[in-house]
Amino acid sequence: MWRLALLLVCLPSLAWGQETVGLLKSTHGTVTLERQQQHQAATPGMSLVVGDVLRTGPPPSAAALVMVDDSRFVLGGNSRFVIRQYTFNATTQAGAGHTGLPTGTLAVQSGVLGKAGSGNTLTVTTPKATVRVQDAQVGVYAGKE
Amino acid sequence: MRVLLAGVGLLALVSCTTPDTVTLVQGLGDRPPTVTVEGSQDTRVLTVPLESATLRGRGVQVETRTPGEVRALFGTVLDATPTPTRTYVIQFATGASTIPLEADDTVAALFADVAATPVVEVAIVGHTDRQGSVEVNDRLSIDRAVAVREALIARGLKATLIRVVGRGEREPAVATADEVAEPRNRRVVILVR
Repeated sequence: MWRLALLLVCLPSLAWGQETVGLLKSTHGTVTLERQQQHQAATPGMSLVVGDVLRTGPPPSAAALVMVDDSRFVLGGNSRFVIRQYTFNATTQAGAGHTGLPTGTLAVQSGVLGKAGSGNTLTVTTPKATVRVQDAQVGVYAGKE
Repeated sequence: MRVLLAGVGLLALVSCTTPDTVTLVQGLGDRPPTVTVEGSQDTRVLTVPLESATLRGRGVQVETRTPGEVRALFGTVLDATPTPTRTYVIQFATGASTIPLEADDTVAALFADVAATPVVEVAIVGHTDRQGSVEVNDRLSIDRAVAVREALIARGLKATLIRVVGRGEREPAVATADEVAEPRNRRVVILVR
């Protein structure tokens, strides 16, 4: 029962079946969140789930995310970022994070999912490439689609 | 106004002419960094800071950028990367899940950190030594994390900020053989991010 209580505590303002995979740490300028075809202004403190799409307005708009495995993403202006798949078992620390950058500028700092030798995977897919990040901070720029 | 228009024009030119780029900025942790860039026909691996993969047509070309070039392209997003996670550790007696009094200073420092962080998440991760079965230690590690969670809530930490994890004996602070009692491994690690 206490596990259920903990689960309820850990999933504020999300529908059943949606697992929090990240936290919107900060925003600057215009940032919107698309979830299940609903668009809303993205504000710091929002929980993020698989399928979420973040869009930023012109520079200096930006958004910073911290994921459950301690990976960090920063989205620059005029960008679109998608959380395609993100699984992380906090007990075994196994999982996979697959994100997309259809357009824009992104900084990625790999967390547990990006540790070499763990069997885990952390990727960013752009229209022209799939980038796998291990034990690194990277910058990714994707031009117009 | 002319300067502003010129600046906007330059930005538009840059965004139109800059090819898709992936740059290894720096390594993290003890292991060498590896960034694998898989294009439609070509895969290249970046292992040295400032190496960049440029995607032109269907190919992937690797070149080393200058720090200035990397900052021009990624400086804004690199500067906005959230601060690293801070770690606080509370040690436990054998089989115990009660927070010892000696942990008061750690808890005080944790609260100061949480108060100073605008948007904060606290992950409480329980660990055990390797004495006992994996199953028992999984349970004990969660019990320890929950005990810390309850203690922090009792002192005023908002429950909605907290995540609880039990790692059992999987991540010892000090490597030991199985069934060895090791006080330094009986701990709860609190991550503030």
